[in-house]
Amino acid sequence: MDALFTLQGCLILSAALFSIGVYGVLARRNLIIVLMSVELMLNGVNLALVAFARHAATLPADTPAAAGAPASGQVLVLMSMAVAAAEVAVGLSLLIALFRHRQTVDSTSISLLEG
Amino acid sequence: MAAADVIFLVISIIAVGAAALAVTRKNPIYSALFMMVTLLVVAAVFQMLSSPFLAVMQVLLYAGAIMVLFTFVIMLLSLRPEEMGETAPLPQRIFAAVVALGVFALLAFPAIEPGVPAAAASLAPPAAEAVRFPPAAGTGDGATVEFGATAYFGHTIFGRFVLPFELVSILVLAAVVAVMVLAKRDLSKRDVADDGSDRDPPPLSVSAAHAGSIASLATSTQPTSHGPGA
Repeated sequence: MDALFTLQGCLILSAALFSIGVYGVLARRNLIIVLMSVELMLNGVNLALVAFARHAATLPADTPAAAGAPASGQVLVLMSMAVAAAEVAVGLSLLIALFRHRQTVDSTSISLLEG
Repeated sequence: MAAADVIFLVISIIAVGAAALAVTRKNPIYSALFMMVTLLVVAAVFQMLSSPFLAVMQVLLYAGAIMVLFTFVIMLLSLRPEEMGETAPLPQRIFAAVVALGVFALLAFPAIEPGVPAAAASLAPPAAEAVRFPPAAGTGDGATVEFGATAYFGHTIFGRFVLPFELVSILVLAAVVAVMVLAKRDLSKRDVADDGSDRDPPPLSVSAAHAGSIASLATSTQPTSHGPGA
C-alpha cells in the first residue's frame, strides 16, 4: 500500500471522522457538543461522497458506475450541506428554547417524558 | 509516496486529532474551535479531490456559517461551568468508545478489502483526465471540461437537478420559519406563565450592570469618534 491518497485512504479518513462523531454523540452530555458531533458525522459522510464521485471519474467510461451525470455526487454533497445548515439552525434554536426553560444543556437532566 | 500522499497523510492526522480534541474538550468554545480546524482540513481534502467548488462551499457554509452559528449560541448562552453538564461516567464513556471503534471497524475494513484494484489507485489528479465528460448542455461544440469544474457543476445542478435544488430551497425556507417560531420569546413566556413558576430569569438579555458599562463605553467613545470630523 504505497499510495495513500486513494479511495481507500479517503474512506478510512471518513470512517474515522464518522466514528469520532459517534463517540461524541454517545459519550457527551453537553447538547451543544452532541450537535457538533452530529456535524462531524455528516462531514465524514460528505467526504466519502466526494471521494466516490472522484473515484467514479477515474473509471473507464463504459463501466456502470461511470454512467450518469459525472457531477451527481458533488451535487448531492452540496444538497447535504444545505440540509445540514437547516438542521443546525433548527437544532440550535431548539437548544436555546430548552435553555430558557430548564437553564441547562445537560442531556441527562432533560427527562420530562420519564414520568 | 508522491507529494499528494504525504500531504494527505499529514492533513488526515490533523483532521482526526482535531476531531478527537473537539469531542473531548469540556468547554464548548474549545470544541467549536477544534471543530473548525477539522472542517477546514476536510475542505483541503475536497480541494485535493478536485472539487474546488465544494471546498469553497465547505469553508463558507461549514467553517463559516455553521460554526459561527455554534459559536454565537455558545456565547449567547454563556454557560457557567456548572451548567456545562457534568462529565459522563466512565462506563458510559467506555461503552461509547467501544461502539465508536466497532463502527470504525465496520466502515473501514470493507474499504481496505483487497480485490478491488481500482480502489487502490491514486486519486491525485493526473493530467490526461479532462476528456471524460460529455459536452455540457449549452456549451455547443462539446468543449471538454475537467472533473469538478464549476461550470459543469452549475450546468448539472440547474439542469438535471433543478427540482431537488428548488426543494432544498423550500426546506431552508421552512427551517428559517421554524427557527423564528422556536426562538421567539413570547412563546417561552406563555409556557412559563402556564407553569405558574417564575423560572424565566432573562439569561439572554443584557444585565443591568452590563448595560451600564456599555452605556458608559458608548459615551466615552463618542467624543473621539466625532473628533476627526469636527
